[in-house]
Amino acid sequence: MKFELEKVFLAVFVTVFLLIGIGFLWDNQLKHDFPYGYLASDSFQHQVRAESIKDAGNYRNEAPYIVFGIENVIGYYPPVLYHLSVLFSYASGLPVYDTVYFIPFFGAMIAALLIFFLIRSFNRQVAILALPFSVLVFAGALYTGFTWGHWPSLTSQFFLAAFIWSLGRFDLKKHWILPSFFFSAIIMTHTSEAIFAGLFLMLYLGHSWLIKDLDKKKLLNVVKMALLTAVLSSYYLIIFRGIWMVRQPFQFNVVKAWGAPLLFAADFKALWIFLAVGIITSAWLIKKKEFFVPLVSIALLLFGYTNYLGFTDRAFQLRFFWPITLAFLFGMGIYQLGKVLIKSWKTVYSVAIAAVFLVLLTTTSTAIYPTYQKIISQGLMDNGHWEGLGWIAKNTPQDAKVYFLYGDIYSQDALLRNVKRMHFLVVPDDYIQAINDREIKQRYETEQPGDGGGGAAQRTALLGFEFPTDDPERRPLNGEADICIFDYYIVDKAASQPALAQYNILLANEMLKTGWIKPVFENEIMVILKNENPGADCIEERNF
Amino acid sequence: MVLIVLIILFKAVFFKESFLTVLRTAFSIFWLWILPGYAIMLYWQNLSFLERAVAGTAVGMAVSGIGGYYLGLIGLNLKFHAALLPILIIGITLAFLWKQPASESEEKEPAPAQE
Repeated sequence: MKFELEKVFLAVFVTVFLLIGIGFLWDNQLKHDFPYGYLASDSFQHQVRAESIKDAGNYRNEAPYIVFGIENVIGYYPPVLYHLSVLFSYASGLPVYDTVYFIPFFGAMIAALLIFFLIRSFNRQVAILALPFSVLVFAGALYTGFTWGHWPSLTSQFFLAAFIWSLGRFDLKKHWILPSFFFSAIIMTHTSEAIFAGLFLMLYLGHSWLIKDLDKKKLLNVVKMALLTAVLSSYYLIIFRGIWMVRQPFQFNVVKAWGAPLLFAADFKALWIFLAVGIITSAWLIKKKEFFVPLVSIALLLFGYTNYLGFTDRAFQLRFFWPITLAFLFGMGIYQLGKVLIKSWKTVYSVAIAAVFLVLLTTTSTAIYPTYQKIISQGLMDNGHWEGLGWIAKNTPQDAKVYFLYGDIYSQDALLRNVKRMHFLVVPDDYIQAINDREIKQRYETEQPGDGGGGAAQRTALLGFEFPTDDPERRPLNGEADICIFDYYIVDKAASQPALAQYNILLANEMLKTGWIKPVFENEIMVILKNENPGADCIEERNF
Repeated sequence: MVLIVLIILFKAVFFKESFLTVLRTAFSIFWLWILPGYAIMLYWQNLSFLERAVAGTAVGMAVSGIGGYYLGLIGLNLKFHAALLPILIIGITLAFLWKQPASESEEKEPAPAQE
C-alpha cells in the first residue's frame, strides 16, 4: 500500500509537471498550425535547423538559407536534439516545430524522475519530499530557458542528470558503458555541459578516493568510458574542435549578467531554510559512500557560479535545472526538520507534505518564495505570417532572394529562415529615418541575417576547415543596398506603429507602378510581391 | 502498461487534442525511446520496473539521437529511422544479451540509507 501511494504521487507529479510546463503553454494541444509559444529568436533557430535536417534526410551540411546562402557548409551544431525531433516527428505525425519544443520539456520530466530515483536510493522519504521542488524549473527566469529556446542546453542537462544517475546507481568499477552513452549524448547535444559532466566525474573520483573506494579497476573503467565516449562522439568532436573552439575559444572572463533573465541562488528566498538544513545535515555524510547524492546538489550549485571562473553564460544555463539538481537539499531539509517533530516517519507523511508543497509552488503567488508562473501566449508567430513564409518556401525557385520590409516580429530574425531561401531585412532605424524625412528611396540600410556562430565553415580535409565569411568578398550583406535587386518582397500590412505599416504599403505601391513587380500572395497579414526584372530601377525616389 | 499510462497522462495534459493524435504521440515515445531503452536496460538487473523504464527512456533517447546522426551521415535517410532504428537497437541488444547474460548488478537496488 505504501509503495502504491508513492506511485500515485509520482503519477500526479508527472501530470502536474507536464501540465504546468507545456500543457498550458501549448493551450493543451499537441499539434499546432504554426510554431506555438515561441517567445524568442533562438527557438526559431533550432526549429529551422531541425526542419532543414528533416528536408535533407541527414545533417551532413547546413541548409544554405541558414548560413547566408553559402553552399556546402558542414553541419556544425551539436546534432542530437534535432535528430530526436525529426525522428519523433516522423513517428508521431506532429510537425517538427512542435516536436523540437516538446523534447526539452519531456527531458526535464525524465531528469526529475531520474534524480528522484537517485535520491530514493539514499532515502525514500527524502526523494518524495524533494520532488515538488522540481516544478520550479517553470518559475520566472527559469521558464525562459524553455520559452526563449535554450533547448539544446536543457536537453543536454537532461543527459547530464542521466549521466549522474548512472554514476550513482551503478558503481563505475563494474559498469562503464551506460555513462559513456550519456556522456556522448551530452557532448552531441550541447557540448559545454560536457565540461560540467567532466568536473562532476572528477569530484566523484575525488570522493571515491576520500572514502578509500578508488582502485585501479575504477580508474581503468574511467579510461574505458572515456575511450568509448571518444569513439561515439569522434566525428562531431572533430567538427567541434575545428569550428567552435576556433571561432569561440575559451577566454577567462567574469560575467555577471547576460541577455536573458537570470536566477541567483538567493532567489529561492524562504526555501533556503530547507536548502540550508539540507546542506548542513548532509555534511556529516562526507566520509560515507551515501554522500554521492548530496554531492550532486552541492556540485551543481557551485557549477552554476562558474561564471566567475570564465564559464560565462554556460554557467547561467546550468541554473535552469537547479530545481531538479538541488531537489535533494530541499527534501533533506524538510525531512530533517520534520524528524524533530515526528520520530516515526511514514510514507504517507512524506506524500502529504510533498502534495502541500506541490500546491504551494504551483498555485500561489507570493514574494516570499518562488512559484510557477503561468505563461499563456501563442508567441511571436501567427497563422498569417506562417502561411506567407511557407508560401515562399513552397512556391519560389531555390535561388530566389527574398527581401523583408519592416515587420514587428522580424527583429527575431531566425524566424525569417522559414522562407527557406536567402533572405534580407531592412534595418528599422533607417526605415524610421526615411519616414521622418518623408522620403521614398531605392536604397535602404539592409542586413543579411543568418547563423554566423560557426563562421559558415566548410571542410577542406578531415581535420581542416575554412571560414568563407572571413573573406571580405563573401561576408554577409550589412549596409546600404538597392532593394530593386531582390526577387520577392514581404510586405506586412499591419504593425504596432501604424506609420511603419503605412510606409510598407506606400513602398509596395511604388514598386507595383513598374508593372514588373506584381502581387503573388496576399492574406490578412502580408502581401508578397514578385520582381520579374530584378536589378532594374523599381522606385522613383521622391518626398511624400 | 507503460503505454496505457502514457496515453492517459497525455490525454490529461493535452485534453484539447484529439484522441488519435494523443494515441499516436504516446505510441511514438513508447516505440522510439522507451522500448529500445528498456531493452538495453535489461542488461542491468535488480532495478525496479519503473526505474528501468524511466532510465531506459533516457538511454533510448541518447542512443537513438547519436545513432540517427551517424546513420544519416552514412546515407540512410532520416525518414526510415523511426521504423528501423528501434528495431536495430532492440535487435543488437537482444543479440548481445543472448551472447552475454545480464549483469548480476550486485549493487542495486540498494537498501535506502534511511527509511
